[in-house]
Amino acid sequence: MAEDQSYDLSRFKATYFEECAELLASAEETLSRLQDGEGSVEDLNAVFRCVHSIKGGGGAFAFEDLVHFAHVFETSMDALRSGRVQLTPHVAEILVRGNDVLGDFVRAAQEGETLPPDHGAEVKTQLAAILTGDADTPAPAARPAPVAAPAAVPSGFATWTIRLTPAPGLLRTGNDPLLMIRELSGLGEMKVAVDRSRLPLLADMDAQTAYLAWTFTLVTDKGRAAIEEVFEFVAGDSADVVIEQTGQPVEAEEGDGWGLFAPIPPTPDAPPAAAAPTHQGTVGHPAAPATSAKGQEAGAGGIHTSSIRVDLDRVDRLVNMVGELVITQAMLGQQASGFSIESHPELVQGLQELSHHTRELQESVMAIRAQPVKALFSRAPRLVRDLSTKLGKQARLVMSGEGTEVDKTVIEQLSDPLTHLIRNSLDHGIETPEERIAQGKPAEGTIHLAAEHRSGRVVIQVSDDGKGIDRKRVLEKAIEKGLVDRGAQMTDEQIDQLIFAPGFSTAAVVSDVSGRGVGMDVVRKNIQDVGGRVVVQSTPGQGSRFILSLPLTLAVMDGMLVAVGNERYVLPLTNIVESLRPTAQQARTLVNVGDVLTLRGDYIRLIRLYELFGIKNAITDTTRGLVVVVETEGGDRIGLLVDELLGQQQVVIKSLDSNYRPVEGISAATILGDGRVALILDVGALRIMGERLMSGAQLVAAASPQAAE
Amino acid sequence: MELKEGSGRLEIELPVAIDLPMSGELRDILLDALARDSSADVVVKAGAVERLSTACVQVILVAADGFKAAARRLEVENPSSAFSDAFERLGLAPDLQKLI
Repeated sequence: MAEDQSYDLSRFKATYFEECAELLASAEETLSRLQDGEGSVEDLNAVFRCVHSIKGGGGAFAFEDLVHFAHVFETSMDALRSGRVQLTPHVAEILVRGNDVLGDFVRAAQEGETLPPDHGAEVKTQLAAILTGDADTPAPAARPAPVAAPAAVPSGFATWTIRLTPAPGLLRTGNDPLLMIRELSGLGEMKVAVDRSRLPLLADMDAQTAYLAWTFTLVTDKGRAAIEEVFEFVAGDSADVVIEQTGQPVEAEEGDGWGLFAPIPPTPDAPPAAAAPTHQGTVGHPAAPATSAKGQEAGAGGIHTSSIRVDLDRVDRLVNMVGELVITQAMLGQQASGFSIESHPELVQGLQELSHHTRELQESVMAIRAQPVKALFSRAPRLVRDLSTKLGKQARLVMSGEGTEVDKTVIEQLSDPLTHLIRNSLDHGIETPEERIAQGKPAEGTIHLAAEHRSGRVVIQVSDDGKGIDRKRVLEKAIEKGLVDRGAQMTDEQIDQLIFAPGFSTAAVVSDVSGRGVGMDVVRKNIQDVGGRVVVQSTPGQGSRFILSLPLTLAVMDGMLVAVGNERYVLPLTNIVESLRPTAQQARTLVNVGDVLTLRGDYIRLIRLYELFGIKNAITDTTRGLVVVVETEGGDRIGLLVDELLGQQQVVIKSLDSNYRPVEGISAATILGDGRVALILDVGALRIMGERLMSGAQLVAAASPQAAE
Repeated sequence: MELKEGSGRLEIELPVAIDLPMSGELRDILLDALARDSSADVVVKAGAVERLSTACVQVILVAADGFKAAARRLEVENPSSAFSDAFERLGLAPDLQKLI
């Protein structure tokens, strides 16, 4: 647990430093405009916000020096933007310098260094002087010496000898010398000498005891404190650590290279005593700029970032182009299907490679857009805490699979539905502590938020151990609202689905949490907009579970091309369970149900696609066609009657909604290799359409919320 | 992790991660191999290793000495970069070289 937290913190820190780098750069740019006298009040505001953000984040991580300086800077900026103090070129210069010093503090915080206590003191005084208006009266030293850059780097390198002799129990405490050595070698150049004299015989050995000991020779510009920090958790009890400075610090020579070049560290190979003089000759020489990289540039330049921000439009364009490439590749593949590998070995092989690379390219591009659902889940704990207090209920939130990655657009679309589902669970699902205890449940309810990848889709579940859906109430309410005809026969599942109907709410009292009847239908719509589906499972007295099933990406998917008459359709590969040609005994027609397929003792509803879509010239005899058994997200299986399977293919999804209009039973369209347009079937919707077609006589169309669309 | 006999030698395939308990297991397996009345060499396959503890390195060092004393050889086959890296960091790169 503790490990998780520190890991999390370091990630937040990394994000913070990346933001700092951006903020400093943008502040610098704005300040240079101000310096040129082209700035506006908005620019002053912008710089204020930058400094304020850096200060805020720094405070969260307890970077005290940084926060202290940022505070002074911020106060001066505030005076400037409010017009209490006039911006003069001299003041602008102080601000630029202030930004540099702020950059030093950020960098020091990032590297874990401690700057000298008086670092930037002069600039700080000048910044403070802005407030009183003194800054503009030329100080005795009219041009103060630049303080920002050089002071950031501790001046010299020194050679240290560190002896680490672990106590036998060191490893069992969870400390591993490997990690310490890795950290230590990060401080500078290091040589390792190992002492293996304590190693026993294999038969006498306890694998969890530490036997090895080490002597390190380290050349670093960091002080003793940095070295001691590495062994902070082991020194004393778990290991004997001796740190000795053996070489003299190598000072940078004043005046050479204007202090821009850091001294070259002596290599640890050289005898420590001799190291200083032999290398001194080259120290201040301008021909050694390689070591100047660290921490010397003004402003944000020296703060390293490991990620870049890219405009989403650019990524979208990339995704689109890859989509087109996939289509072109499919087309080429189709054109070349007539060539045998014997007659055109290179062509066929080349095409195979192309297909391989296209897929890899596509996956890499999709990975750019992928983000862990953690961003989405992170709001849940607070929501649950606040709401449960408000509602007088006790609830605990359990989350799993936060690391699951989903396309960014999907994440954005999920935010509202998820919030609503959690509210719904707390408001309608979880009972009050008294009710729960009366039913023998623990007083504290549990809401489980889970995400996982399941066969090419992302499944997000919100489940609770509350009272479940009150089907009787739901049905009464639906009848009252005219959503269902009185006397209609409905299955439990159909009743559960009613909660997604527009304008439906069973809460007797409209609370400010939920119950305004504008929730679940919006949830369903949002999910459907990103090609997903939402299913509810409920057990009275034991709780409900909302299952959101979403596509991993909105751009490409693997599909099975099927033929019905002259038409081509694409079935998502992830839905397909199996395909078969039924015998006459397997395909039957049952009274009041319609066509079914008996498969290993199970009855599966058979849907004739030609009938559903009104296609002519299709095979109507089930024993001559093929049945593809597909599974919907709810776990139901249905059989789709098609003429034949044409093959598996990667298809690029083109939205029908945005290019045409939504069509029931169809989730999207695609362009095939031969240029034809094929529709991608929505299995979940097909099942509902099939049911309606079969049992239309019994159920009024409006009885099912799906039918109301 | 288990000891397999193949082409006149004993083989152990190391898992992806060898933590403290796993090091104990490795020690037991190697001791078992050493105790067997055979002259077969032992091959430790280290290609898959991504993470290993100092404890594991110690076990391999000690076992290598043990086999040497018995006029047999412990050989490390195809060490992964993580595996070699650990030896190098601990100042044991030459020792690993002798086992490859």
